[in-house]
Amino acid sequence: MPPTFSSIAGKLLWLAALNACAFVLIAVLVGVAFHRIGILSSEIAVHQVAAVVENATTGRALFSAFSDMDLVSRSCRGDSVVEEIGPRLSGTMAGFAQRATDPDLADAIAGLAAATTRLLDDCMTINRTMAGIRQVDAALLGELTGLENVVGRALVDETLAGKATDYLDQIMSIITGIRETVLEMGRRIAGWEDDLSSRVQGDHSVAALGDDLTLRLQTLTASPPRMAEMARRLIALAASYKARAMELADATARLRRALELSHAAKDRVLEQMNRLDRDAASRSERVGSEIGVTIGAAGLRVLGFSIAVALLSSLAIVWIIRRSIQRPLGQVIERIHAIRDGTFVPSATPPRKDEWGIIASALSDMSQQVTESRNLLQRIIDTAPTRVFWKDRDLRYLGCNPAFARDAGKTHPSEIIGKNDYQMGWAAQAELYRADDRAVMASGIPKLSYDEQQTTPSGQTLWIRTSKVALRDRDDAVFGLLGIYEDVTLIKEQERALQHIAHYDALTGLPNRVLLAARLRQGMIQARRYGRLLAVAFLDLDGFKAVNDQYGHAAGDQLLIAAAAGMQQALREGDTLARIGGDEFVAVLLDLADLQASAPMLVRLLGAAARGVTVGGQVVQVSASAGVTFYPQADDIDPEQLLRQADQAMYQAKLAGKNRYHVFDAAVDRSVRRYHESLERIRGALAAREFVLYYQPKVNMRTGTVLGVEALIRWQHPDSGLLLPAAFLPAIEDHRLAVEVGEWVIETALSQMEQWQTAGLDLPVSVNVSARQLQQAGFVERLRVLLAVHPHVSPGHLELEVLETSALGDLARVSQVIDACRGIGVLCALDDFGTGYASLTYMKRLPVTQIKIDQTFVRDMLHDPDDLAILDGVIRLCVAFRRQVIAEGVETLEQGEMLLQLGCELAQGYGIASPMPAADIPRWVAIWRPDPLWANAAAVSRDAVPLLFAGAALRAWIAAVEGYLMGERDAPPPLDDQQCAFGLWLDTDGRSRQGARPAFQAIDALHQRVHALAVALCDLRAQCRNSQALAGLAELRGLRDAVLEQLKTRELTK
Amino acid sequence: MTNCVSSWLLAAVLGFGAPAASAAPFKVLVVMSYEADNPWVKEIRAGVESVLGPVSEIVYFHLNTKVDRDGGSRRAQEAYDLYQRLQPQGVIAADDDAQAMFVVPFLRDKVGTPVMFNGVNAAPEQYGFPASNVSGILERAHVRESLAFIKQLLPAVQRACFITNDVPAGLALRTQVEEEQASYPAKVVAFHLVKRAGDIVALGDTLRAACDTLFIDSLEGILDADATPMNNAQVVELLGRIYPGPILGGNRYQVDQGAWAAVVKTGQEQGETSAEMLLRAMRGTPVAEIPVTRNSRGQRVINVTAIEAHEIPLRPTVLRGAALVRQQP
Repeated sequence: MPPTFSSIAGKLLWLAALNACAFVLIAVLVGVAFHRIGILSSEIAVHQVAAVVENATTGRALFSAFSDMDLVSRSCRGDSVVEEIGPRLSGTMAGFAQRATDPDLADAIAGLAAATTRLLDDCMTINRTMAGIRQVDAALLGELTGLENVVGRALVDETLAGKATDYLDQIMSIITGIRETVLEMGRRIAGWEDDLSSRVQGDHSVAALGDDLTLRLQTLTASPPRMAEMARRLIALAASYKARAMELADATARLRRALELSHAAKDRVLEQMNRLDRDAASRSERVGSEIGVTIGAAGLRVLGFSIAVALLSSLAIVWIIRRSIQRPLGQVIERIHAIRDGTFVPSATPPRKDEWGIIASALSDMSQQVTESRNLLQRIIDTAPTRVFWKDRDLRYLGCNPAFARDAGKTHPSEIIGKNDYQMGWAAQAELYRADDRAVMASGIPKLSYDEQQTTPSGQTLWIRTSKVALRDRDDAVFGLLGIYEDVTLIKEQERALQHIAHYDALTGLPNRVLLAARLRQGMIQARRYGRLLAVAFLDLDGFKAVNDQYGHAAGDQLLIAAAAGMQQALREGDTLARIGGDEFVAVLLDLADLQASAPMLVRLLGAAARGVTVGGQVVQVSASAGVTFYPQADDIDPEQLLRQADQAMYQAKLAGKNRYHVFDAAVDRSVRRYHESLERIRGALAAREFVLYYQPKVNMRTGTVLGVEALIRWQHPDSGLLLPAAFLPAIEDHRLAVEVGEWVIETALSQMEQWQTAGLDLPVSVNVSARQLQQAGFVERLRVLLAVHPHVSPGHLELEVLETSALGDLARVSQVIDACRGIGVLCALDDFGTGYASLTYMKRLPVTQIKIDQTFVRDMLHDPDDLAILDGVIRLCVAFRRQVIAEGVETLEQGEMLLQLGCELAQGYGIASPMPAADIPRWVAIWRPDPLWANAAAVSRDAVPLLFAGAALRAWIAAVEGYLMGERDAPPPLDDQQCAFGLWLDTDGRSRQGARPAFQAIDALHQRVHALAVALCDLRAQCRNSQALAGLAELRGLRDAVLEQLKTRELTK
Repeated sequence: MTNCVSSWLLAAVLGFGAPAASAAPFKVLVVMSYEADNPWVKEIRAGVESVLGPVSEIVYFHLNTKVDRDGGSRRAQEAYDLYQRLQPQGVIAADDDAQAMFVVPFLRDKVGTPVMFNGVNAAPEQYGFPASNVSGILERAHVRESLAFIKQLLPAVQRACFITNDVPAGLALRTQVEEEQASYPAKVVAFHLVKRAGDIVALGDTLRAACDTLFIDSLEGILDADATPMNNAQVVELLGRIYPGPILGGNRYQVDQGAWAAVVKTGQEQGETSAEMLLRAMRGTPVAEIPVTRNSRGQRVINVTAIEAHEIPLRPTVLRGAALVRQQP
């Protein structure tokens, strides 16, 4: 720390002390001036301001009183404000009168007090009157409400009694009008309150309304007694209302006069107050003028002294700056420049004793440290095992290390300073280097570890790995570039060798499988992009193994090399030929316009491969087989799949005799793949227990006995929900998987039977068995094992249903199996009977116990005489062959009734029960009862069967007419009543058998009506009056039903 | 059966109406003072049938005293003969003449059959009503209400005059006015009972000078120059010619036929109320428990034809609650 008085800080402290003394002196001068101003201000405060304040206080009190008066005048509407404010206002007026010292003001205030007293009196009178009016108004409205209630009650009573209510309606309307008038009167009176000046004008209208109100009320006395009495009370109230309104009008007039007087009195008081204010303001103005003179004189004295102090202070500051700042600062700057330039030499003269001496000493120490750091950095750069260089913004070299200088062909780094890359041995790469330099300096982003080439002064080309960063100054501005690099030429050569080994076949030099995949992928991309075709040809040399075996591997290798070279020449530039192993080659043909465009090249390829090679003096020759596939395809496909397709096609070419090419068929491939996928999914479903069994009951329709259930397989698909067999069984029909599924069905059905038995339900179950499963070797043994696993299940309760349409093949073999099944107690049925080509043969040859008539015959039996005939025949055959017969697909009561009439009592179908989960079966068995129609139906005699056929014929004919009328047929059926099938029956068999019976006569007549109506409807249709034709359909159906009903009469069917 | 047929044949000869229904539980005789085509009588008949029509077999008899006052007593005897033949379960007697000529001499306290009167303008004590078997409904004009109503139309109305036929109904109205006039909203200047059309014509100057409005009632039967009884429409038409000011009518049909406005009484109310009272009696309520009542269903009616013809402005408040009618041609 330098001595206090020789340092810069000491000198500045002395200067501050002198300035403080000067400001004290200025304060004394200002204080004297303020003292004089204070005396004058006291004069204003004591005398003049007091008068002004007194006036202002009185004024505020007066305005408060005025405000109360206004409030009083506005409050003359019946509230309590006047009672509250009145006494206060009177007191305020009395106080004014006592305080007023000015005689004129006192006189004006006395006048105001008198006016205020009158105003208060009138206002209170109005308030009392208003209160009375409101009281009467409330009573009036209350009485009106009462009258409304009485009239309303009477309205209800009279209406209920069925009487006229005209007079009551009139009364109700008059009440409404009266209520509106009362409200209008109230509204007008309320209007007075808002504008006192309008009261007098409004008086007449209110009085007129009152009179009118009274007259209307008087008409109400001509009413029932109670209403008349209420009307009289209302008349009295209306009179009271009017009287009070008149009182209010008088009081309002008085109030208005009082208000006018009070306004005049207020004006007088305010005039006196203004006069007093003007006197006080005049006196204050004189004192204020004297204060201004005093302040001006004091200001001049303070200004002069302040200028003198400022001048002296400025001189002192200039002296301090020159001696203690500028001169030593120059010396310090010189030392800093010397340190920067490296020319600094410590001074021999003793240092100054102030702050500058401390700074000079610190600079000397810092100079020494900088020199040492610079030397260290230079040594590091010079010895670093890499090339280092740095450039300025103009890309001229600023320096480098010795290694870089050697690469540049220089002996010392200083030789490159100032040169650019064009002047170096790598002038060929100069533009590239400089572009990188500019990019790094422009962006400020380093470019690190990238490989590039460099030509040495001797002409050698090196691979170097370079990094460049921008050089920044202390302001973060880029002023140059620092670069380093190392020679990686050896590493590069090693990498290239490895690359070739990885992608090319060592023997033929052709691309190997890796490079093929890359080029194929690239080719597929281009094909998609440009909408062209790409062909992949998989070639395999025919008989190459024999060459190897006969001539040795060396000969084989020569053959491969020659074939590869030949095939390479057969291809276009851009196509790829790869060897993917042994004697297998793949050619990728790009940019094909269509499939045929590949054919010439494939021929050339095969020709080149078959060209002979001389080995050891002998000509060795092989052929080639090729498989071809194309890209793109309908399905999305990857390179590996393309190669597999070509491979498959090549295999087909081999199978077809070799030395050819075969084009892959994608559609066949897709079908095969999907078939296998289906098989896999079904196999998976079996493993995952996704199959379930539903059970459909089989019953005796007449007795209601439940004969058993048929197990029907369903697939509980996790995505698609419950699938029916048609969705999945066809896929495995000819596959061994069908046998596995069939065994699962039998096993599951047996388990379910066991569960039902445990629950007390002894129910036979039939399962469907395919012909393949039935003829499977060991089927009966397998069945025996399954039954053994379920010892509680009686074999007689398991029934096998064999599809008649299945290719049963060897009937003798099937018959043996069925017999063997019967041997272990299991019975068999022939399912879907009638749909095959050899139904009667099967019935005759196969020892089944039950025949199931196919549902297609049952479905149309009511409308199709042919189906009905087949049904009748099958039923009669079963009787003849002593087979039990059951009908499938019974969906309606009428179908069941017809079957019963034909003698078939057993049935199953949706009309009885839909297939259901096993859990639902016990409840269904417990509650099912046959429809009474079935229970009462009886088999008709053979003589009556023609009646059933006749009914079916009639139904079919009516359906044909309906089809024509609805536009589903182009022409109607024969409309002549003797040409339709039913008519033919009527005229022949019917008339001969039943003609004498009355029921037959009725049928005949109905039939003629049916035809007459049908003819008329068809005529309408022909005239394009379709809606009229369709309208007659209901009648036609009614006649049909009438005929059918007649056909059922006991008279005909017995 | 023979008796039944002969009764109906007699009724046809005498001029009374056909029964309203057959095989009804009650048989009722209605004796009207005036002729069948009198508008007031029609109103009463409508009121009676609205109540008794569905449950009674009603036989009407008319004394026709408006057109043949002297023959009234004779026809009353015929009515009593009919009563004896019919043996009805109840009797209704309409208007003052029927009471004086039929009920009092033949039925009052003489038979057990309940009798209900209507249209009676006189004090009931005059006929000894109520009696052991007689009760009914009095007819009183809505004079005060009508005057109040016309003042709503014409606020300048201060003086009111009255004109009726010099018949018991007119005398009864005069008694009513004398009793009530203190409460009327207009001063009653004069009440004229007239017998002939000439009397009306003679009053023309007096009416025009002294009356701000003219209240009319019971005008039927005033004799014209040929001593022929005039009907209401004819008298009102005559009044309209000699008096230009507002005419008030006691009944609805009077407004329909020329009066300007009124709070009217109706024959329907008279007929309906008396029929209800009779029905109660026939169903077992002792007549003594059925008190005498009076009409109370006044209805405000304005003859718009007349009002428009005289260019009287109609305020909406007056229209509200009033029935507007068009003058019948």
